[in-house]
Amino acid sequence: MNFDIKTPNKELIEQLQHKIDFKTKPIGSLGMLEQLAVKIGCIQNTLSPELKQPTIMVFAGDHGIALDGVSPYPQEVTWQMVANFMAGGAAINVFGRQNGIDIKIVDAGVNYDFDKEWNVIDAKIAHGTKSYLNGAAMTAEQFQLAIKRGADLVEQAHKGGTNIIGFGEMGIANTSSAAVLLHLLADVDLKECVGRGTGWDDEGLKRKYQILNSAVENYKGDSSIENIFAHFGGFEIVMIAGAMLKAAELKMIIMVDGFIITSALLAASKMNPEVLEYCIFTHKSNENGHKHMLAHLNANAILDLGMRLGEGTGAAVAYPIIESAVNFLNQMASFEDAGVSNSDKVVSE
Amino acid sequence: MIEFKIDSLSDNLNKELQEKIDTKTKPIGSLGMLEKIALQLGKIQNSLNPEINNPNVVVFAGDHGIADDGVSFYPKSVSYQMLYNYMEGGAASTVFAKQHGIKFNVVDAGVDHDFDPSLPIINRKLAYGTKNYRFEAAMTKEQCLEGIKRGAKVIEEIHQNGCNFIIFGEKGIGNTSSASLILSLLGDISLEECVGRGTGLDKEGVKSKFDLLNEGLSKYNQSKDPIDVLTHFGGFEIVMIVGAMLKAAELKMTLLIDGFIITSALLAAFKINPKVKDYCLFAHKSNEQAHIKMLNIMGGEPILDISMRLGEATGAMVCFPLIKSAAQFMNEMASFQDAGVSEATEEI
Repeated sequence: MNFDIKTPNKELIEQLQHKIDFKTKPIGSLGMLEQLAVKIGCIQNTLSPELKQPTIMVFAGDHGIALDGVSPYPQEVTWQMVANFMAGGAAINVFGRQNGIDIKIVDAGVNYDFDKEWNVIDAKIAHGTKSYLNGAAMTAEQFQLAIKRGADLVEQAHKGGTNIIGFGEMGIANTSSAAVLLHLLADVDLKECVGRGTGWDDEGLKRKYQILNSAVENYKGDSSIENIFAHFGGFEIVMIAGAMLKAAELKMIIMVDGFIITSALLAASKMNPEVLEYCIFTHKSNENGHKHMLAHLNANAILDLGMRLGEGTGAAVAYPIIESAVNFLNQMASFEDAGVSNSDKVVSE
Repeated sequence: MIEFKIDSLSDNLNKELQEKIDTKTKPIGSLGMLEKIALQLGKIQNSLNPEINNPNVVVFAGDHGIADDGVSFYPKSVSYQMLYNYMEGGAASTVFAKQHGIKFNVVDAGVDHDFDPSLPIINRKLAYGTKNYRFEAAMTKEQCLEGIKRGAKVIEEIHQNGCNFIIFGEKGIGNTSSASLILSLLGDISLEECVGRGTGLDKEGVKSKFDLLNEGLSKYNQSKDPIDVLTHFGGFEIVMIVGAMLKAAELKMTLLIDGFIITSALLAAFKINPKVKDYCLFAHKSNEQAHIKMLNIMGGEPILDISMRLGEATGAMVCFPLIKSAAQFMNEMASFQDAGVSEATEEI
């Protein structure tokens, strides 16, 4: 599946910067908010951007590798947390409600059959991936199908009027997939990529590393992105990558969450690097490998709060800050509008 | 001087608060700083269900005699002009207040301008700007004490309207200079390290600002008493904020602290009564270089670091939804038991 992602209109940078510099504030004094405003203006190709129907799609999937003991939580927590999402009791629900973000829950491949009445969006590829300790997590067909389903879901949201989208995930053991993807796609030492996940102590961390190290040693495939991704990915991660590529094709703003979501982006960017032009990095996760991902993608995250919950929570709490960037650009008066004396040291062009 | 009776925070609920946080459906500790904020809100309000009620921002404005010497990138008239901009809702501060539903208040602490009394500006004017501390004290001791009293009174009235969460902002061309001098004297840091770019000075501008402030400092008797320092180098807005902060802590409100100027007021308040700090959350690390030094003196951990240096409480307001997130996860998230979610199977 190919995605036709256009580069945002960078010719607007100068005009946007000019608009920002003549707002009633010292030049540059809104720091990162100014950079966000420029980025969003370029993506939307306008000096007056708008954020419409912000949405976070949470993709859930199970991982065969979980049964090999890489997570301190049992696999059933994945479906139980989906139930918690549907009941509105999870962190992502709380932050979504607070910030007016629509939360959509997608079953990408949970090892559980949900009651139809729960209204979980059914995009299930299978009941969990296979363990990649000795073979591929998914087939090439499953991989392609996951990319397409992710893309289709984003297309629907876009048709519904959404122009800013974040992604979340739930899948016990999915930090393991993310760690291996980081190791193989960004050439970072595996030790640096494997972290505590949901809360391993030193011994658990060591065991997780050993399992993943064996999995990497056992990999016999080539270094193509599709093969690596199908071998070590999770259904939710692959679907998110497809969703991101489609979102960029549709010129939507992508809010990038933490470690797992950034691993999906890392993979997506190897399929089409233009996707990065549409991304806002919402936070730096406390999961060790995330800083390496951000460095590899040359990304500067908005928040650094020591969060590592997943579910898209970092994006959800950062959203109002992105909104502030758009609001100041649209609503603040210029020196001229407000009749405020500008510094005589500022020269109009 | 009026007395402020600030209670120490009780540790009684610590264990229960932590337990409530740890049994929410999330990995332990995974909300990072939001968990610390929730804990502190719970302690301040002495409640397992902390709430943010009727949040208010109060921007205190005042003019500075030193501004006439050219310590700022902008002319002095910008102070009063920006108040008109607030009235029209065109300033960064009013835009963010509107975004977050924070009630916006402006206090004329001592602007060099007469405002039409029909405007919604709270008139607590001490004088038409301070004197130039390059030559003499910025204000009299009586003015300083009166400013503290007036600031406290403003907060008392806001508190009576059901507000338990307060943000302070400032407007006053030349006021980073006051903040630098306050930091130098009360933080015992060489003046050179305390002087920054303010609204946008270049290297040369910073040097000449330093020279002017150093001249002022050399004529001062070097007392480290906070009231003496505020009297000599304060602005009216800074002094009122000091009183407002002490009163807010006395009333067990939560204070969300903005950037360089506001933190200089807190530093003075802290020297008057260190317990005030227990009621404070630190919204952001300003791009004004010496701000982090102030935070370090009080052990303040900033929530955001996004290179802002606008003033007017903008850093605090942009941070506000994160504080709300902290209160909200405490009150709304399900516990493992509520949600029927299995906890970690291994001892971790």
